[in-house]
Amino acid sequence: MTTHFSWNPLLQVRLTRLLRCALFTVPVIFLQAGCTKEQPASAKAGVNSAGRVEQFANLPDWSGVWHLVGSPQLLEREDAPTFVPGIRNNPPYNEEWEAQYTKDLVNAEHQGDPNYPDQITDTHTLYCAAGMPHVMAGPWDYQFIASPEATTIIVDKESRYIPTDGRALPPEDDMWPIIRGWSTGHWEGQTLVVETINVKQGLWGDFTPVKFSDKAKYVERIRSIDDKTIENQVTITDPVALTKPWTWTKRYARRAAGTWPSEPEVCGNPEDRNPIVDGKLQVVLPGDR
Amino acid sequence: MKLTTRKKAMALAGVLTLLVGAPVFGHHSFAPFDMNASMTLKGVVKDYQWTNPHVWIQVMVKGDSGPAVEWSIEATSPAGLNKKGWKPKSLKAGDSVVIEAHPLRDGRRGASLISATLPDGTVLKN
Repeated sequence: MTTHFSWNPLLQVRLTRLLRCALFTVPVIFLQAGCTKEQPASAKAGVNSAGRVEQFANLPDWSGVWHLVGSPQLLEREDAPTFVPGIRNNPPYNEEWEAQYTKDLVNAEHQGDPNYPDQITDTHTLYCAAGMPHVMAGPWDYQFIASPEATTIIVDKESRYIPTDGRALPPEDDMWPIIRGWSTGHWEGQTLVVETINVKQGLWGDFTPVKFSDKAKYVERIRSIDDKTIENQVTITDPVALTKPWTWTKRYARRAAGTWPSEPEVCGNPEDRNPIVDGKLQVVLPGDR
Repeated sequence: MKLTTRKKAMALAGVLTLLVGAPVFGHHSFAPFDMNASMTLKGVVKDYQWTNPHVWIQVMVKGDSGPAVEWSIEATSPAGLNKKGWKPKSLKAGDSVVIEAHPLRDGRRGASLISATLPDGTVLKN
């Protein structure tokens, strides 16, 4: 039995094109596969591996610009009023540190008073930066840039680098107290757990002179509680200043899509009319120049 | 210039706190200013300095007698003001303004801005 085929001319043209395409394409695919194996990963600069893409997919979406919820006046309260004498936190200080805080509160209320002998200046003013823990509780714009290897938190002009790649802190001899401290982090599900030590002693924790020693450890649990809110639960342990751990929580609200981060404030430039002289803030008026 | 009583000023500060909800902070504290006192200045803008870290308004204020004197009004950062509706061109030299502010503690002619009434009647806060 013989079979007779009758070719549709159009079908014949399409099959011919497909065959030609396959003849060119298949070797090219094999060639590319071979090159990928032989060349280092850096040859594909800018392209994430499938594994890293998967890690990214498991991170929370913290894109955008965020702002502290409520008043920044106190660490332990969102609704703290401002400019009210006597306003304070209640950390579980030992007797010595409680006495110092009480004294500093009185002196702080007289900042800038030329007739008051023991006035003190807040460290945010002196350093032109907040440092830990104030940096996480201020009236600034926040960006939480999470990646598999590290999370960077940008606050005004300050930044915190929090590696999450499993590394340990640097050797003791390579660390010293700095205002943001030294941090490492890890993920517990979608909660970023951060440990920070070696924070410079004497920084004001907020806009009151609540201070900690450089032996303090700060553990933060940062997580989304809904699409528009990040929560940061902070626990401070300080064998020098505190009788037990002190925990407080701050929240950050996502600003509208398309929001530009605020221009960071800069200090000490020629346009800054508030120089620090002998540890005290000055106000330069035109006649002073 | 009119200085209110301490009680009135404290009440004003309390009301402002309630209204604003959160204080305005710049890169430094408000220590040099008496936040329990407030004053009203009516004058003409000499210079509007939209500068980082803080914005300044130089105002010529004419008293009951004698020539006008210059006052320096310190506001928060450009970014902070911008969030409250201020623009780099909100004021210009020659504009008539009414300023509410906290005076310097040391008695010099400087103050920390509470609010400004612009020539068109718009009130912008610090």
